[in-house]
Amino acid sequence: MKLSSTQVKNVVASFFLFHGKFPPGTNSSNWQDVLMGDMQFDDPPLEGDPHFEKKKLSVQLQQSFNTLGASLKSPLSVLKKTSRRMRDLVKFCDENQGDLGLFES
Amino acid sequence: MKLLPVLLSLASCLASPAQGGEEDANTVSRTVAGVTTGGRANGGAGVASATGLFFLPDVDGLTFDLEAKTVDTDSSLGFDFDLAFERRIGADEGIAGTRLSFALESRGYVATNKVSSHNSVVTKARVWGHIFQVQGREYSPAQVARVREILADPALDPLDDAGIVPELKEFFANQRGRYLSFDLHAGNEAEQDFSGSQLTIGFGAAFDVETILGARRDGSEETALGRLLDMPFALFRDRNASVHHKSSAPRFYVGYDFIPASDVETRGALTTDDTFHRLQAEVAWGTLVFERLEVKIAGRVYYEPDAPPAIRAADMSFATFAEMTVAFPVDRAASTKLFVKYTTGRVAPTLAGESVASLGFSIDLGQSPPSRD
Repeated sequence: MKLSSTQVKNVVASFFLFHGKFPPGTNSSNWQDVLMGDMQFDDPPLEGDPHFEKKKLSVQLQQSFNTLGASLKSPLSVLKKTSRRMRDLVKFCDENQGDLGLFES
Repeated sequence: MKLLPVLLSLASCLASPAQGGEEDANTVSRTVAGVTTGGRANGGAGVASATGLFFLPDVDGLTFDLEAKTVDTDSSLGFDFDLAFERRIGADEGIAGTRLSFALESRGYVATNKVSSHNSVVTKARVWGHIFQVQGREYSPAQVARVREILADPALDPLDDAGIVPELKEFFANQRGRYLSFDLHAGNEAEQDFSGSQLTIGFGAAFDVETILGARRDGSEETALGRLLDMPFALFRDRNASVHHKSSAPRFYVGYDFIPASDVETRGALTTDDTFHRLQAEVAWGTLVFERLEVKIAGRVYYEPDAPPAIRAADMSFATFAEMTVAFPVDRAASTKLFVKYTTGRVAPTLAGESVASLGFSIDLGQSPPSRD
């Protein structure tokens, strides 16, 4: 069962809050304007795998959607773009989720 | 201290940033003491550009980080860069399938006087995949329905002062697990002017403490090692900085490389054996100090297990490299950061020893202005 837009927004906010990735100064009114570049993913990068943390977070976010009964395409491309904002990630997740068919509505 | 005047010069230029509103947000450039420097550049909406300097198309999978710097030892100018382009192989199978992607990466330390920096440009093509093992308990349909109900509340505000609601915290704690990323790669390690180079073919794996020990029972992100590393920095951290931010766990990479034909002068002067095996290990970790000061630490070790006697005698069978960066975001909206970086040790291909203090600044190019709901 797909998630509503409100559910998607709250999953994304709660997920990154749980993982402690929001930069100082983030609050309820500005979290969607936070840039991926300010989230300090893979900062500093491993030369052997510069996107390790982003890849792991992508999979964990997909897993969260799966548990809730929805599929999600990998959001890795959004996390890797430092110029993208959290609202772009919310939009990506909203538009790229599907029904896993695990639960009856 | 040769760095001080340059630091003051940079600071005075950054005190009046060009990023003055939405109309400036897509075009950012800085000119300091006759040297125009760009920073981390990524394709944003449309075309990312810095006036007359960069035109970076908005291509998915393309990232470009650039840090302009001046070097302490001889005031030479230079830059560290990290360019990558990545494409997925096959369809997106979600987390159930092993993801395979192709990446082309180039990373380097370059300076006008090449011995002043680490004289290294490493370019790699990489195919990578991953394994993820969820460790949390399974959720029943009723429990899932309850979490969905909480998330459906339009009044839910996860970032309010009360913090994340306990049921959501428990939910996300149960999505954690062991994550391992592995890769096959082939590349070229060259001096910055390509006067010497060597091909590499190898494989490796990246992981963190959670990959080895498993997720903590309380689902917490912080590991004992992470907390121990963070302790001295946490003493100086502003309370406000810790509200929504936790220090990440250290990340590790171990790999093997086969070098079929080395054409690097420092090695050639010691031995005619230009074919060798090499092991490599890395660690990277970052945290915050005070309110917004970023501290980044990375280390690397190279080991040639079957090195010829001449290489061992020259202390080139084992090499270490460490990099510590302190960065201060001058302009949050533009992610402009002033940084001081200290690097010491030896990197491939030359494995020549250097300790370099440098400073500079990085800027995100191509940021789209914040839109409104």
